[in-house]
Amino acid sequence: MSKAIDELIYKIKTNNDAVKLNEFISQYEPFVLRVIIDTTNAYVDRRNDEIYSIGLIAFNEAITRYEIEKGDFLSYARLVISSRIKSFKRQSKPLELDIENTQVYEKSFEDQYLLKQEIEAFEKVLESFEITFEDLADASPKHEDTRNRAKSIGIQAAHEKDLVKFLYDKKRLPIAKIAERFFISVKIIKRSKKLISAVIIIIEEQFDLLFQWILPK
Amino acid sequence: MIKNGLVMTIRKHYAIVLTPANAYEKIIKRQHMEVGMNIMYTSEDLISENSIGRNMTMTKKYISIASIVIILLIGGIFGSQFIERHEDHIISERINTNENPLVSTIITVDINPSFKLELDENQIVIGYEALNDDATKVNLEGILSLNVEDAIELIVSQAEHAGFINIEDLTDDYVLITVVNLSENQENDLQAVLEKLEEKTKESEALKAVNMALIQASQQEFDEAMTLEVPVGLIATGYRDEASVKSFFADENHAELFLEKGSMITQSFEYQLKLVEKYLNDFEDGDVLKNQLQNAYNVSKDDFYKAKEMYDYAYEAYQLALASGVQEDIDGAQLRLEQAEELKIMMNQFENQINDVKTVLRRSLEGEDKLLLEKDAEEIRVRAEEEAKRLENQGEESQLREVEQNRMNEQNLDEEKPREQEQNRQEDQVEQNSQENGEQNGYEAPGSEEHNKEVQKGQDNSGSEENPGPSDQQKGGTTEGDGDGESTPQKSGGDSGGQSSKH
Repeated sequence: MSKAIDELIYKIKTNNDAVKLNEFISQYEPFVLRVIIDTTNAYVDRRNDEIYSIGLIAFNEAITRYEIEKGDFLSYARLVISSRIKSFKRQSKPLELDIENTQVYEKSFEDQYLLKQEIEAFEKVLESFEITFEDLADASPKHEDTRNRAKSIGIQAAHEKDLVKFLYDKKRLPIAKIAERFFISVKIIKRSKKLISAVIIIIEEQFDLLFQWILPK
Repeated sequence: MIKNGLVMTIRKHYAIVLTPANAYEKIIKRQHMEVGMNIMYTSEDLISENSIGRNMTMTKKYISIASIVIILLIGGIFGSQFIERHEDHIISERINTNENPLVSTIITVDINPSFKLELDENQIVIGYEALNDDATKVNLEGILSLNVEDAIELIVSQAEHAGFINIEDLTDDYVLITVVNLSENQENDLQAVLEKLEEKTKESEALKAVNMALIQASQQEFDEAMTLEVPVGLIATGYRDEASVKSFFADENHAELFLEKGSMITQSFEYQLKLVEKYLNDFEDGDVLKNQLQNAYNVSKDDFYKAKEMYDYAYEAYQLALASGVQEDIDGAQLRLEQAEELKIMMNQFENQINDVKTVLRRSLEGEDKLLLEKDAEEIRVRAEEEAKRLENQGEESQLREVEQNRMNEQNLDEEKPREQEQNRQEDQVEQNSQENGEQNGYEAPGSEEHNKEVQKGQDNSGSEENPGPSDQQKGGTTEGDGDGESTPQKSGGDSGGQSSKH
């Protein structure tokens, strides 16, 4: 496997194939992320993804500097990325206030803060329905289709006043009614019932930021 | 692939994120995480419940797996010893399921714990099963080979023992009993169970304290109920979304709807009275609310029994009239019985009033605003007194009707007298003629004597009936003063008697 990569890189470099190079980097983005996470023991904040750019640049550098003699490419790349990341972290330790970017920075802070508010409120409401995030994690089906199903059922159901009322009054999902009204089998609904309830709650409580997040793209 | 996640919560050892695809995922907890953050991660960060431990080395994993297997094996050996000893709490103990030809009827009993009973053709329990978690906590030792009514009593008392019902409180407890159709003539089974329960309730303290709702269900409804984890009886009523028998019946509309398809044996009235009395006693003397409620309660209770007496007598009179075989009397008694049906309606009213008192008591225990309760209690008291007046009038009315009836009877008699005399004269005439004609006519004028005899008998009958009960109904004109000595089977005032009450 690594042999193939090594050869691929060799080909790219010799042919100076920019297109293939980009393709290659795209393909290995998850790898770069993996290295960053392993190195820093932190996830990359999308709102603050400078470190990710650094990683990509390092990856590019590794491709440029790679030679067969250096051994297995991926191991070499890992080394390069890791060291670049570490030096970046050392550099930004003292908080540098970049005036130009402060507003942008603050805005993203504000967004996150608002989201945090919504999520915490969401958790509270879920509590009153005796649903925890753990429950939702356990209930999240592996199959993408089923997940999407749950989402769309939830969105549909949220528009029907009587169904929402039922959910809020009895703290249970009106499974039979939903099955009838939207022509879905009871089994499917039952399996994702907590998930569906969560979607309805997000809409009903007007957690707009959360809703934006899960909105079908 | 790179995943996006919205951090929902951060726990001790993991965090949960929400993906844009509406999936909630548990991931490894790392540094600088905050709720509301939008992070990038991969599937390698996922924590799966089934993994032995992502951070364990391979050897450690093998050791864990091996030890678990050993524990399971050992556990299995010991476990089988336990199973026999805890026989009584096994979830299901049955001969066979639906394939068992001995099973003639399947019944489910839903309180909150839900049970399934299998009965043979004599309605004796030959199998039982706990249908939910709560049910496994109820000890049904000895239920096998019991009659169905005894089995249900056992379930109710054991459920109470286990704390699932509280008969001492003011909230009504419901036991939903469903007969599942296994064959064609299952309606008879339901009727039989109903009758057996009615009989059993008379002598069972446990059953007196609860309301029993009975209904029939089809096999499909049964299967659906098992899937949805909703009591079969509720599915049979048409309610698929209600999983709790208690909350179902808390809604009055539901109760009414239920009665369209099923039957109900309600909590015994005596038991209700007991409860209300007990809670009223808990109040301090002189408490305004208590006085109002006590008033309403006393009036309603008295009225109930009064009305019941009146009704019972009309009923008895009817029975007696039937026995006498005298058509007129039968008709009269039947008429009076029909009028007495109004009394039954009133009895229902009084029962409702007691129920209202009970509700206010319950609300006061739940801490509702005193002023509000006093207002409601006042309404009930006023209503109760109005109903009491109505009852008196009813008594008056029926007595007036009695008087009317009697007067009419007298009139008829008076009318008949001259006719009789005519007839007699004619008879004599005929006799004379016949004698003159030399014929012996043993034949008597149609019906005259017989008619007299009947009237006599009628008088005797009504005369022989004692006038019952308490003499507080001194209303309206009694017919005692009449020389005819006609008295009525219904209560009229001021008579001797003191026939003992039936209650």
